[in-house]
Amino acid sequence: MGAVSINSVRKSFGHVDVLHNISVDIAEGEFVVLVGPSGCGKSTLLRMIAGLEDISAGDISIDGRIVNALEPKDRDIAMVFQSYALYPHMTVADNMGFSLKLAGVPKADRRKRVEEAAAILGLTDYLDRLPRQLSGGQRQRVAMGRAIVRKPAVFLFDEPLSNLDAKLRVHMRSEIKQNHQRFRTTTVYVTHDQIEAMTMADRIVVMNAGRVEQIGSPLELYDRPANLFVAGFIGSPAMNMLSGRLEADAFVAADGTRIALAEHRAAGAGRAVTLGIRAEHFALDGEGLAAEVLTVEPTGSETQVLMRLAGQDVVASFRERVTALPGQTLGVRPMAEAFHLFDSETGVRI
Amino acid sequence: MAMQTTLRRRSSSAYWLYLFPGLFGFLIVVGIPFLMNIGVSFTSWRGIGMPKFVGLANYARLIADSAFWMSLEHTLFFVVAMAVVPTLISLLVASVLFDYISVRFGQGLSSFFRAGYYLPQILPISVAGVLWGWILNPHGVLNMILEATGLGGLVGNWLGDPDLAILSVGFVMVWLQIGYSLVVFMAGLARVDPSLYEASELDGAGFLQRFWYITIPMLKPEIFVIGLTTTIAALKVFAPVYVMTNGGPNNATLVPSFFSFYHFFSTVRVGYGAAVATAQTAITIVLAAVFLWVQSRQTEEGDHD
Amino acid sequence: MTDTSVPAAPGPTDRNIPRGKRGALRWWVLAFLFAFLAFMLAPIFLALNNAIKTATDYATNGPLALPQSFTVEGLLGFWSYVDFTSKIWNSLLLSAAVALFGVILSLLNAYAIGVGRIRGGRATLVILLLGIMIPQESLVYPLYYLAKSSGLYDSLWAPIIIFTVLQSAFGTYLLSAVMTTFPHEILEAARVDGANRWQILWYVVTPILRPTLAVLATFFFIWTWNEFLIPLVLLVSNANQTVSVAMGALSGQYVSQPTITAAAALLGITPTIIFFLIFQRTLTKGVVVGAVK
Repeated sequence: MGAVSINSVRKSFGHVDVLHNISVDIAEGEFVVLVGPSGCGKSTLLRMIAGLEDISAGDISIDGRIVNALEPKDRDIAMVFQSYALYPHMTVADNMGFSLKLAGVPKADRRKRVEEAAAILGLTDYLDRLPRQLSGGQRQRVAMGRAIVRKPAVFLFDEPLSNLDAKLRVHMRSEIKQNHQRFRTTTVYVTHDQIEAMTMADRIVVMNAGRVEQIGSPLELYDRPANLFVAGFIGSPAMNMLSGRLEADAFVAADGTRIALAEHRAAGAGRAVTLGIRAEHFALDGEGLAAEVLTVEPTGSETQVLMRLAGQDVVASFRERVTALPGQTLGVRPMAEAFHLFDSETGVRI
Repeated sequence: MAMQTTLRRRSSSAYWLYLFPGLFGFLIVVGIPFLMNIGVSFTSWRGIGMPKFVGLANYARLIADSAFWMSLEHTLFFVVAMAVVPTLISLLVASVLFDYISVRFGQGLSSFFRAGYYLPQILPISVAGVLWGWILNPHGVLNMILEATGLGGLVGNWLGDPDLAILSVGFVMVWLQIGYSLVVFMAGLARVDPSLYEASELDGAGFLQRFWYITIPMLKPEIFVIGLTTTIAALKVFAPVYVMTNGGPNNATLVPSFFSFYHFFSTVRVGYGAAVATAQTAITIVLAAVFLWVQSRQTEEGDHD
Repeated sequence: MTDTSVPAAPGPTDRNIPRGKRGALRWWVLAFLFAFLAFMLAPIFLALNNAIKTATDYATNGPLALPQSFTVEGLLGFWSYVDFTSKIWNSLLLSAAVALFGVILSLLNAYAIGVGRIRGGRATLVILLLGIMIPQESLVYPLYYLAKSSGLYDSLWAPIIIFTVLQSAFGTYLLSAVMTTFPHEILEAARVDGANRWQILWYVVTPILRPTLAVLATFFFIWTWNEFLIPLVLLVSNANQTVSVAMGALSGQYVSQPTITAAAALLGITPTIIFFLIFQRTLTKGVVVGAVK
């Protein structure tokens, strides 16, 4: 149980449309991440699934049942909020058991389920504490515990890690993932952090300005971004984008630099295109293109070089240790088989 | 589409249920009596039987009634005694406590003074009236002290002399009001960043300069709130006059509230009393509106800076 | 850093450290504040000082002298003369009932306006505020008339109802502002957890706002205790009067017996002093009025 189907859903506040015709099908047990810049509508979509926002048009069904008119509590969902939204006056146990209490679950039963969840989350020793006596990570766990206790059909997460420091964030990321593997509960997870999306998701929905840009597995999005937005949003460091013109067998940059393509592309010759090259798709090659080194950032495992190539700033990362100094010229060869070409006007992948 | 709209309206209107008891009570206790009072002000009524409609006769009489004009003059005096003087005193005291005492002697002493100055403010006014009546009556404590200390020449009939009575009542009101504004100003200063004072001290500003250039501007919102609430309170003064002087001697401390009360329950000219009360209400609302208008203009100007 | 040569520039930590022996000014300021405090509290101490004297002692040694005699005759006499026990009881009942009902009513109103964001919420607030500004004189006669015709005249219920409504107008204003800033994610979490509106108010909002509600109740209690005009008009019989009204009725009665007046004043002051000692922190923080901005 727990499939979620979002069918041509729209949301408008007054005359402003914040979501345009969104359709996403989420399979039972799947971990789907909604990702996009702030204001793209991902949280609104999540809140519509939760029943916290009205649906202006279209419908959402959970488990094959249309839930548009149902109250949140009748949708068989649980939600983890960005601020955790713990009840400050209730102990951890009461926070986790509140929904059961409202549902009329007998006290002993309630206690048992809270203790089970607490054991899973390592909160057993904290059950009698108040939220303010807990650390950020523990609060996060209580928020999850509150959701787990209910054994819902769908878990909804609204940027749950954005209030944690970087280290704890990585840790909680894997905890959430482990819990998902344990319970296999359908999960919809909202974040603006593409790394979170990449590392956690079975499937990612990339959203921008109220539309879905692409839906796919993390590596699909990374390897074959459908358009310029996804290409720029997914991956770190961000994909290098060179603008220029397409010729039969080469890309010609604005300053006239020719970069050979892997395959012959007579079809689109002459049109304005953007060439996307990921940072790791450059090789050191004395015979290659001449790039002026701007900065060199060694991390140990790799070296990131910001350089000027074909009149544009480009970031390349090399497994080798680069000893070049800023101002010097470096010979590099873009790997033609890993190029991404986009129509500059429409942004669509060619 | 239609279904969702109705759903939403239903969910918002469900909250009206929570407002219902409050609004019903407000209607019974304020709304209806207020309208009844206005209605009665156009009648001649002795409190029993049917009120007789007399149009604007009560208001015409009111405008010609020198006692009414006198009561308004006294109200003006009470605005000074309740809004202006206590505000000035407590601004200075709050500033000394915040910027001097708590810095040099610690927070505890400053809180102690604040609590002490505040105490009179929460006394029931009738109790304060009895207390001061005891002190100020011709054979009272003050005159005894004056005589005992050789200042017999200053002995006065503080509440019985028409020239002194209003000053005495006004003085008691100052005594009562200081604590109120002091506490609000202290609360306002608590949210001021202390580094502001430190920085100005480094710039060489003395206490008076800090008072003028930091304390007063920072407390502007509080000064407005205090100004508004105490002015409205001054327009409604009743208990101190009732308890200490009964409006006398010779109407020397007559105020509108006492004036209408007198006609409601002593002369039982209810229609006339209602006209007085209505006029008083109108003045209050107009004054409050002016206050709020000035304030909103001030904040707007602040935004433009 | 170019100015390091300037001598003795007072550091920013200077404020926290007493500046020591820099002149005698600080002692003058302190002395002045104590003198001002003595002036403010003098009437109260004078009442205490003279309430326990005999009349002869007062007449011979004056009001400033410490008591040479000790008697509780004045206190007891006044107590039994006005039946102070019943006055205290009436005042307590009235004030406590208004504090409780006033807070409940404010809570309900503010929940609809601050959390429910009902249409017309702001307009409602404006009307309530106007209601607070209206002088009680323009309500008092109709209230007197309505109380008489509904049989609530000379019953504590009449002022209980009236003050519950009047105080809650202010309470609604204050709590609405608080509830507007209530973290909405907590409300949403409660909705997801399955709480209906009533349960959200009762299990989530009320416990979280408890400190604010306690402050509000304290002020309602004190304000109601001090109310004068309406109890004066509505509670006529001796058995139903409040402390405040009983005190007002005293005016000028005991001019010839100053120690009894002092005793009466002391008895009127004492409950307030007790409340003051209990609630001092709440009362002097200025929270309630500070919120009206």
